[in-house]
Amino acid sequence: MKLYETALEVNIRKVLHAELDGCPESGRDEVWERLQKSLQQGVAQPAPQSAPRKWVFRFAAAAAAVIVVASVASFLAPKQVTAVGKLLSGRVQRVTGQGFVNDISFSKQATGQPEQGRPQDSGIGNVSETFNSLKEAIRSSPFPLIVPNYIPDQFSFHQGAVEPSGSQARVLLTFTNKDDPKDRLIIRETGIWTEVSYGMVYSQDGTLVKEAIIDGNKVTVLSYNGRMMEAFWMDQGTAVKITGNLTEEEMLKIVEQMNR
Amino acid sequence: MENTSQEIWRSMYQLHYRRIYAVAFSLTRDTTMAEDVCHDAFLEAFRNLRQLRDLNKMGAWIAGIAINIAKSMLKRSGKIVPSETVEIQASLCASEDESPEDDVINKELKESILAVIRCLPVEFQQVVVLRYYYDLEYKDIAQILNISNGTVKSRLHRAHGRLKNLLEGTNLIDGKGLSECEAL
Repeated sequence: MKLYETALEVNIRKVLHAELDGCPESGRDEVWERLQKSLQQGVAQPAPQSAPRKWVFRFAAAAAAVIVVASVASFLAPKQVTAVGKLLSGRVQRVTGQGFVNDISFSKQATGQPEQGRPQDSGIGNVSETFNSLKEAIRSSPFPLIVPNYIPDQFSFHQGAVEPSGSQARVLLTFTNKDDPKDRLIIRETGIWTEVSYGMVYSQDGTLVKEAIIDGNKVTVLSYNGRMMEAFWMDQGTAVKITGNLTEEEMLKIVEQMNR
Repeated sequence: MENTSQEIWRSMYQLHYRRIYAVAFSLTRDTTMAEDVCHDAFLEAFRNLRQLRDLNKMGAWIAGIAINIAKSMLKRSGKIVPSETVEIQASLCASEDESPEDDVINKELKESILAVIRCLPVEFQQVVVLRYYYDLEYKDIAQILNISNGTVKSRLHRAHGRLKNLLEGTNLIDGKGLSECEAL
């Protein structure tokens, strides 16, 4: 009870306490279970519905409209970052999955046969072909190359290389820093036509892993001590990996502006 | 979710669930919706725990979130809470020297107060619940809602005004009412 309260205040307090303290409780355990799932998954769990509600239908209609608009817009709009996801871990990360092989630093195991109609070895074998211009590299790639439309000013094209190998082929595009030739930005693209599994382990302290959704693709970006080490994602049968000493903003801008 | 975090969250949840549920139910009058409000309120609270400056005010802080969520849910659902369905336990309203007739009058007046509170804008409801249910000082309410002391006073004053208009002529605002003022 507060000092100097008016009768109205006293009565509001009494009424609220009578109403709320006397309220029978329900759902404590059920809500906790849902809450746990939501916290683990990082998303809100939809509540079990006791009966159809008007807002559910309104929401469904609104969502359908958004999907239609988004589909149309995706044909018209340039690529954009739609979301940068949460930090997955503060330090050591293990990234595993299935679907594509990246480069030799990944443990890899081919589990399928080349599909019919897919490009096979170009006949060059494991010997790399090198090119001094981006256009030549694009022309020589055995699969449709995804080309960067933005590269930070400090970098210029250095060399392109095509490495056909078995059921995959890899193209490396190398850019060097004009002020420091040892500082390189490397774009690796691997054309995939077999099902494979992959895994990679980062054991350095200070490695941060984030996920971004860019043009509908889930992109994994890794940084080390505040600078960007790597971004990789899968785009319609092409595994793309970008490595360089970049800021997160620069890295995401490159990824955004990669086009076939 | 780490086990330690889980344990802490579970303790907080167990501690505050009943009152948060009561606040949610008083607004929605629907058990399922009240549970949904609790779920969303705790989820938002756990995710934004860093915004909480005083852990002792956690219950009140989550209640503020819950009121916001309840109002949004009610608005989305188009549900209007009918004041005539408000049920007050008569035994909670009666005092020993009250006659059954007084009891009926008190019950009606209590229902009126609750109905008016439910009809208040969400920002008014928040300050009323935090002030009179969680017994917070103005400065604490201001901190939780991230508004100034003056805004808290102004909102409470306006909420009182609406209640006074409704209860004009009753004994709820003239010093008698449900009981004598117990201020010391």
